[in-house]
Amino acid sequence: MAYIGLLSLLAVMLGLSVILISLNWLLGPKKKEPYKTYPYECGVPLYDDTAQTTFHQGYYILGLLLLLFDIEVAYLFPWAVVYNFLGVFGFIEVFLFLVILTLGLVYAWKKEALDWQFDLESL
Amino acid sequence: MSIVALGIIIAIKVVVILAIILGIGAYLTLVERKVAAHIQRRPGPMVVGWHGLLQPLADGIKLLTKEDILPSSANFLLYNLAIVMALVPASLVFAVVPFGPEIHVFGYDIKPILTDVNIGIIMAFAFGSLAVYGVALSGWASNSKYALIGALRKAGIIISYEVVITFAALGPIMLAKSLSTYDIVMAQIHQKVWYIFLQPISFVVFVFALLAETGRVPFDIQEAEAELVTGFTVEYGGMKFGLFPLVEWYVEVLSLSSILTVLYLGGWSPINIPFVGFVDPFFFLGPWSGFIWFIIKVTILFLLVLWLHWTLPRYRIDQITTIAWKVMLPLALFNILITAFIAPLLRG
Amino acid sequence: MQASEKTLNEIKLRIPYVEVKKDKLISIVYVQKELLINTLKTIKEDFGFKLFIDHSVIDTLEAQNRFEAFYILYNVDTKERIVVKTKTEHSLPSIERLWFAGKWAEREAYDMFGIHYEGHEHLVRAFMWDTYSYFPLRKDFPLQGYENVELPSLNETVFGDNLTGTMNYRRTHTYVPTLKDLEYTEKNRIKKKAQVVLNWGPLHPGTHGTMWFLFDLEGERVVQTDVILGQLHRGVEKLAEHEPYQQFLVYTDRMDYISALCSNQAWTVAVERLLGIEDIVPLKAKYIRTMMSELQRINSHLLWLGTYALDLGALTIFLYAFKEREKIMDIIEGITGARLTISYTRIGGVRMDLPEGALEVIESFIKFFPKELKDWEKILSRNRIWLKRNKDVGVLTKEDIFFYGLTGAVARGSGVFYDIRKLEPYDAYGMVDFDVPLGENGDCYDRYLVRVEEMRQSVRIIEQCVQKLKTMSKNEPFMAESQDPKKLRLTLDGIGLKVPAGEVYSSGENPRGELGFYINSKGGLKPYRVKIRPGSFYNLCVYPHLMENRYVADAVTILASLDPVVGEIDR
Repeated sequence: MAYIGLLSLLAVMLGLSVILISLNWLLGPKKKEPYKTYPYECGVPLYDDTAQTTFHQGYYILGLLLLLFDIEVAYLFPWAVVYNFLGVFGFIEVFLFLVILTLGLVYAWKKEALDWQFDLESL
Repeated sequence: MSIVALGIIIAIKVVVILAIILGIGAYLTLVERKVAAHIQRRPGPMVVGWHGLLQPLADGIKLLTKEDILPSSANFLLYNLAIVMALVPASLVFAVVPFGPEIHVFGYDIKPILTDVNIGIIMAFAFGSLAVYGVALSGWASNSKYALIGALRKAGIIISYEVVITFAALGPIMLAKSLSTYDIVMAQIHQKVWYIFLQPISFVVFVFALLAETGRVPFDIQEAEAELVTGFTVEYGGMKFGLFPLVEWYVEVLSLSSILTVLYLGGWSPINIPFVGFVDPFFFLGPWSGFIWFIIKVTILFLLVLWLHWTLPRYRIDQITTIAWKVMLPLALFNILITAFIAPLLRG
Repeated sequence: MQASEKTLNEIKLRIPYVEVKKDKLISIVYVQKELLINTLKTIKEDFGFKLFIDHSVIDTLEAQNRFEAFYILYNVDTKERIVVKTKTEHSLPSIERLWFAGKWAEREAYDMFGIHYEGHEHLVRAFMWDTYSYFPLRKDFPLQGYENVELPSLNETVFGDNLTGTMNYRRTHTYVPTLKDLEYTEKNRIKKKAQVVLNWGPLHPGTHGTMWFLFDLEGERVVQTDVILGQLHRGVEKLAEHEPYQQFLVYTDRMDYISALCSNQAWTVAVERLLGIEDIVPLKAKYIRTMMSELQRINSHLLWLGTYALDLGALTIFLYAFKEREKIMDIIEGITGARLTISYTRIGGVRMDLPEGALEVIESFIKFFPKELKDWEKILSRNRIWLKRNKDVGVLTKEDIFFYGLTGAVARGSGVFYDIRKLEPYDAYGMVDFDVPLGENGDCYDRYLVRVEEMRQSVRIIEQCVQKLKTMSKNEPFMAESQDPKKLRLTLDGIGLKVPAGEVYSSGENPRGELGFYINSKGGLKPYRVKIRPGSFYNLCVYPHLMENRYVADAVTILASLDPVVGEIDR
């Protein structure tokens, strides 16, 4: 029952965004000109025809770390809620868990995985 | 409570949230321009209306009457879907924001929160991180290299600060023993302390993460106009272009500021003297003073964000991710450890 | 200073096959083309002429060995300048191994004269597009160019061909590049090695004008960079050959349009040196010129500071800087009547005396300005983000400075004491007291500090000039009087000014580096050849080197710290 409000807001927002997207098409002028739809690259001819190519990113390993840490934080949420009822046992257990987590972070730090990876693929 | 009454209440709440997103969101552009202008020793918009009061309206009309252009070789579906993916999740965060205390009108007890569920905070973070799809899709769909670079930069920020923001939020949750936004505020009121006094580290980390997730200076690298023109929005025009800053700079800042207020600043509670009680200069308003306090707190946070935005230079992308993983995350982990010692000492 | 008799004799002793010549204005070493590289190498390594200043070609129109090439070198330790000359029919050996800056100078000479450089790694045009087939600076290329393309004016497009009188322009224009030409040029300049090639500029807020950079990107890392110049190319050197000396002044305004007064001054001093009238220019005019140039320098550095901060995201500093800049603009407008393209100096003096109250206004400005500067430094200089973005970015060693021919604040940021105002004082610079700030690490942060400190030093100079000018009476002359008006006509309009045959290289310290003029006169009303040595052009040539393996985000930092102006690069 509690989620009815959320769903109705979702429906309203979806409708609203569709309206906002199409308003320009309804209200704006429509005038065709050559090169109007040419992709913007500082007003000169494109070197590569498309931008949808492989594009190396330096944070690939950070992405993997995100998966690990986000899953672990999901374990921590329920623990955080009931922490006071668990007593010393709950504290030590999660302390060990966090130590292992931190060790992983330290390991990644030492391996320089937290910096941007640019030299992995040499040209 | 009858079905009709329930429906009416929900409808009112939805309309209020819509008004926040569209009305206040749009008018915050004027606030931002005025604040920025006065930081820079100039008057700002002065022509349209008294002190530029009608400026957002004029901007809106201008944006709406622009031509709708789809760049050649852009993907029509993804190009438009990006806007939906940016706007909808960002506004859904408001569903779990408690704007004030429970009020009693026309014989009904109404909580001013759209969806009061016991996982409110997790939902807020879930919707918050969905926002990256809007940026990523727009970067890919517009088929421009500037947009692509900007979108990938934003993804890099989100990857880093998602972890930080959730770890930072664990502290208040441990103290409040609840994931419901409403209950977290109530816990602060019962314990007579705002969590900012117990969680200063996590508060600072959260503020930084807020700046990063919303793409505010010093983390506005995804649109860094000097490098990438405007980054991922470079191929958008008209209202489509207008929606991205609206969502990123206003709706998201407002929603995350609200969450910040809930977690650290005691939601709608008045001025707090730690462990002693609350002082309310607006006591004569009865239960309505809570709304005033909530608005005041969010406004102060928004002004803080503006102040930083118009003063600082911006970081480089690798520096941003490095700070997140090497400074913010250890701080957040350390904070959890401290909280583990503090939490049992709090009563209630 | 020109190289002394002693140095020339030593060179002659060491390299017997050269010929040396020295007069009051210039010291020249003549050498044959085949022996050029060895001579340059000896002069560079054994005689310490390490800093590359300029290289270009003169079209002599002689039947044999039509082109005369000159290389201008500088010895920073002994403060001597030398010119090496050689003659050629159509080709020269490339000096790219001795000076990288020579590579760019050679590209320009290839572009303008069609000289072929043997051993040049990538000989492409500097300013024109690669499919252009003429060489504009040759004497047989007409001033108005070759007509090629029909480009009707807007009026003609709307109203058709029925326009008469002044509305009806000529419809044919010189050759303009088409999209195909540009595409060919861009693919010719850079061969893709990594993932995508990004066009950064010409219509881009971060490039400080219409510069067209090509970044070959592997992710956000820049693998290789090239610059396509010439979007603002107007052929100023060609125009100079067809204008009287005084009339050319207005073109110097339009070169470095941010520091027009400094360019004016440099040109005027160069012509005065060629005429030999530097000593008869009245003291008042000298002080006025110096003061105005320093005002312009502050003005120019403020624009640099504003855009630099803007590029790094601090928009507020930009507006603060522009507010102060506006005050200087108003002062300059009050004195000269113009804000941007000023043309205030004249050969032999200045256009008019200072108006009443000008000194008081300047005095009150320089009293207030240092406080303002201190405020901005509080926001930036110790800011952690600012330090992170600037420290260890774009590091230039002392050797780099010489190898790439860098001058101005860029050279001083790396600790090279190279300031024309001190080395070769012109106008009143020898009579005022000021310091030259030097950097230590040669990174962007040092260049930032050097420029900020330079503004303070400029304030000092202005203060002294104002004090001096206050003691001068209203009736003192501001324009030199010629002893013999029949031989030398010095007037405000400069009409009929005849310059004797000779050549000179004279330079001024512009905010963006050394602005030098090599003037070759065969006598008469117009110069035979003017080579402008733009500071920005050579400062920019180090950019591809600095951008290697850096992020896209560093592109703005490094470019803004080099502070080029397109008007001066392209000319």
